[in-house]
Amino acid sequence: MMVGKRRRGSSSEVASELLTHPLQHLAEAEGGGSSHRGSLDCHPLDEVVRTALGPGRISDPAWRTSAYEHGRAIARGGAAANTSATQPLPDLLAQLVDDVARAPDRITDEQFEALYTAGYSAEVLCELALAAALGAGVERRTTGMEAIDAWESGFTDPRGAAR
Amino acid sequence: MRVPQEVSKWHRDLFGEPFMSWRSRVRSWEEGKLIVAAVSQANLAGFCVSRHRRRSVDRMSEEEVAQALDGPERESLSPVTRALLGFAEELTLALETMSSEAVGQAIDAGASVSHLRDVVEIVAVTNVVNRMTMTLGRRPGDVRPRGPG
Repeated sequence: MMVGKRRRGSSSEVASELLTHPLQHLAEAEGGGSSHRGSLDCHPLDEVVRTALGPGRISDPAWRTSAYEHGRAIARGGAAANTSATQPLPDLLAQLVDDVARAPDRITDEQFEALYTAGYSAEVLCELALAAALGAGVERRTTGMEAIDAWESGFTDPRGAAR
Repeated sequence: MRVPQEVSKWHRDLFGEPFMSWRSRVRSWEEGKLIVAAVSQANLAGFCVSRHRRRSVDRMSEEEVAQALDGPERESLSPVTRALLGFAEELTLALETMSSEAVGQAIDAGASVSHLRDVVEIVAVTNVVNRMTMTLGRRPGDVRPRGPG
């Protein structure tokens, strides 16, 4: 197994980034006021995301955050998918993350071989893939719950159009 | 295998208690298995389709499962089941069109808000697991590893 490339900030930088960036979206999505969702503290998805993006992993937290946000943007589709960037991910990793989010059936054994040859470890690849996959799942959950909330409230859909 | 087995085991802390808690709480009703299979099929996740198709047959007739996954009209299914499957597929493949109108159509077909919320959870979980199994290169017939799938 190849040794993973490490590049991570201090633990305080990581914690600060986590608490102010990706989880903020989840908090906003969960804070819409519907009792069915529960608070950010009680939904198991929050703990999954926190674990996947938080400290104690091998890969750069900024890479995982980027993968997660890209997964969400691709799921949203439209302009979000066209403009979503995977910086600061290097090209090979960016391609993997994009494939996970957009078309995981296209991922090939050769792609993994190239990533291993470039020096990325299996752990790093799994962490980034999971971050992108979680973004895809979280975005679907958020949009679906918003649509149901909008139907229940009887006013607007989550994109702002009148019913 | 794209990723060594020991890495999958290493991922048990990610796919441990929180993920299993999330997953288990959305799979406790009849059509749930079928919806997981349909979402997996929409994502072309063959490994997950093969597993959940079999589980669906344990709960429904072979014909119903075939209709749900292969039949273009799904005419042998109840209107509610058709609506739930359609809602799940739209959430999976066309999120940008998801709206309160889609919810209203499913409600009109007989679905409950509670069922639709469960479908949303199922779709979210399944989209994560599908992506991981495909990324890891799992294929139908693979022995199930510990972890996603």
